[in-house]
Amino acid sequence: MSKPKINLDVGPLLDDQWTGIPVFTRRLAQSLIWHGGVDVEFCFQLTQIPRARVLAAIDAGSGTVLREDLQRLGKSDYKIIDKGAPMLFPSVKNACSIGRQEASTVHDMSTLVMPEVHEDANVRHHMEKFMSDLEADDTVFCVSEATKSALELYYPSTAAKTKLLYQFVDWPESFESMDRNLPAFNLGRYAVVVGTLEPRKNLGLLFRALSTPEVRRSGIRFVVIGKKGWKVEKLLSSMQAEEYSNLIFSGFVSEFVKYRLLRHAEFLVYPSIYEGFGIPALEAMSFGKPVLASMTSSFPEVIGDAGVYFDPLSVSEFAAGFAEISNKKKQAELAPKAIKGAAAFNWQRMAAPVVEWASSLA
Amino acid sequence: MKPSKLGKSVISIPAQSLPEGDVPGSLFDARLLEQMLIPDELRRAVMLVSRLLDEPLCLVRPEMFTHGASRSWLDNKLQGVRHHVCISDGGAIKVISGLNNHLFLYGLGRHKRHAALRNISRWAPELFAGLKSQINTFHGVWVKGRFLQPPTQLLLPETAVPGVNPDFYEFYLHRPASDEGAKFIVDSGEVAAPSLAEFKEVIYVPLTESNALNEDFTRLVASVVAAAYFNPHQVVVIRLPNLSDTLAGIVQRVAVAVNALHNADVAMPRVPAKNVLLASHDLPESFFAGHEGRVSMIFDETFDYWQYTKKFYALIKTVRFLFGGDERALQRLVQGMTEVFGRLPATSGTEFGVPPFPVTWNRRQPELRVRRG
Repeated sequence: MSKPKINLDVGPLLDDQWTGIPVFTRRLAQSLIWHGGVDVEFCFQLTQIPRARVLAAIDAGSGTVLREDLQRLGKSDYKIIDKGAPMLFPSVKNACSIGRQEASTVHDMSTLVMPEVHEDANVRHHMEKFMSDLEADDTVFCVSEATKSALELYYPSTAAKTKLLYQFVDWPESFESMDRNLPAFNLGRYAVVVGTLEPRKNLGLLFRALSTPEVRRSGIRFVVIGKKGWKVEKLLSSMQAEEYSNLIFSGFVSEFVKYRLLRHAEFLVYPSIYEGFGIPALEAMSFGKPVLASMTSSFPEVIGDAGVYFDPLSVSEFAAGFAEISNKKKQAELAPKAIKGAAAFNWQRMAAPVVEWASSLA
Repeated sequence: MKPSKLGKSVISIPAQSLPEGDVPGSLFDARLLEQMLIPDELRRAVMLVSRLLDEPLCLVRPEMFTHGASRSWLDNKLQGVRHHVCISDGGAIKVISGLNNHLFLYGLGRHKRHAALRNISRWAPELFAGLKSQINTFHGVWVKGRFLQPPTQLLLPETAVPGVNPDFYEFYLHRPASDEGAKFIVDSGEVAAPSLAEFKEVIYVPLTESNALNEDFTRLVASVVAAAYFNPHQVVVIRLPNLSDTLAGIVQRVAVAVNALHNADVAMPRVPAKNVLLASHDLPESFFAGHEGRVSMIFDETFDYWQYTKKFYALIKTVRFLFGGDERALQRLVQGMTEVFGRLPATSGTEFGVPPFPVTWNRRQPELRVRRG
């Protein structure tokens, strides 16, 4: 009996720098290949993209090559997609409904419930066709229970067709030896904050907490990894020079630099107001690093008992949590829980619901 | 449509309206809002809604507590709470599963917010099915071919809300297509508040950024302004719109008003109007004290009409409400406004055309009699 076939839209992989949804797409593609339970064709909108090209982009960790290929489309021998195969979108749809069956992936509901933290154009991009996309979906994959609950709260009619699609963390095998051969960072005690600088990341709370005795006396520095996003100019310009002394802004870094920074940190600080999943938490946990996390949305679900939680709008709760997690004994206690928690999210778990969906349609 | 007490409840408000760093946490005693620096229109809304509630709590971001541990944390803090009132500026509507959700909309006069509400109605109409009631609005949406309109509760202040003394400027259609015309009006200086006793009729128009962009509304207002030029017994006061741009000054606000009337394509003299005035703020009820029988108002759904008492509206001579929503929402709106104004609309019992059209409540109409017992 032949394997069920699906088209996986890899549009997000066309980005140069892969964070968030592109990384999710890459992991989804790989998990389906590794699983082998479905015959995956890759595509962008209605155009098939050869598997070899997708794998080359994955090796390179960037979509520049894929995008250039598509721009030279007139000269290429690319084919159109097999219209009969179900179509899976790893995010919002970027093509009209043409597949026999379709499924899209909802990462979070922030453009609906907290539009003020987004640029208007981004809100429109996500919301304008969202409802009709959901209606056309045979299945709606949600990246967490939190996202599933939020989606079903605002779109009750989707409840019958939502399914979970958890992602996982993977690091290239070469990173470990490369890291071992490099000199250690000279950062002293430090914690890491990961994410594009934008209002939802709630860095304002962290900045205010810098002046609390718990944080000031700890001697712990914060390495903030992520490119500058939107609507943060006011926040960044309001910072005093002395506050900066505790903070290191790395900007966007390669996967390897992120790997190193996380691996040698004491813990991850994740003050976001709202997240659909929170992959940086799993990334830190994969090294046995606990997470000082907001009590919000998907965090308790993803981080579980490997975290110390605080109210994301309370500086005093943050400071208390910080005091707790910066204790080495506490870190040692949480480390095995972090590793176990991260391992619970794996590629088999990511591939399974998609294979099940495709099989049910075959 | 009478409001019912909701008892121990939680309210949510737009998080971006709160002063950053001045919030004790996600959930706090709503009375703390009185001491916080929040926009006046939100403060008015909170004060009004609080009348329905006992020991109200304020939840800043309900969306954080969708399920699991975060939801358990919230449930633990909300023991005994059965109602949630989402006080929204139209930008987002939050609901909390398991509670009775009520919606209170304010500040829709800002174009961006009004547009956002319309977008939400298109993008997520199903959420309206989760609303137990809407307070003071008559919003309706289409969901899969079915018109859905959560029941309305009417809630107006029992006593007049104190306001600030507005500045007044004389209206003049001077170089209307540019800010220069507005600057001329402002540079001409403030004028004294009109002495209402000198006029047989006072027409008050709370102009909003939203209805200034509504051609039907501005045409109606422009025709009233044009007529006032030839009727010295009449004074028209146009409340200047507050703008979405928080840095906008008085010149920009005047420019929006003047350009709106200019674009209405109603001819009017190009001379300053002594009896058409632009007011910088809402006119408080006390401004009309003793003259209410000569006051008429023109507004639409984007004006926060609930800032005035029923007692005030009962004394107002005529109210013209430009209805621009879905025809299905009209019946409930007319019913609600009839209750607010204490009289039947002039067009009661007749067929209305296709929206938008003005619905008028005249003083001459018989008082609405409420059957008792």
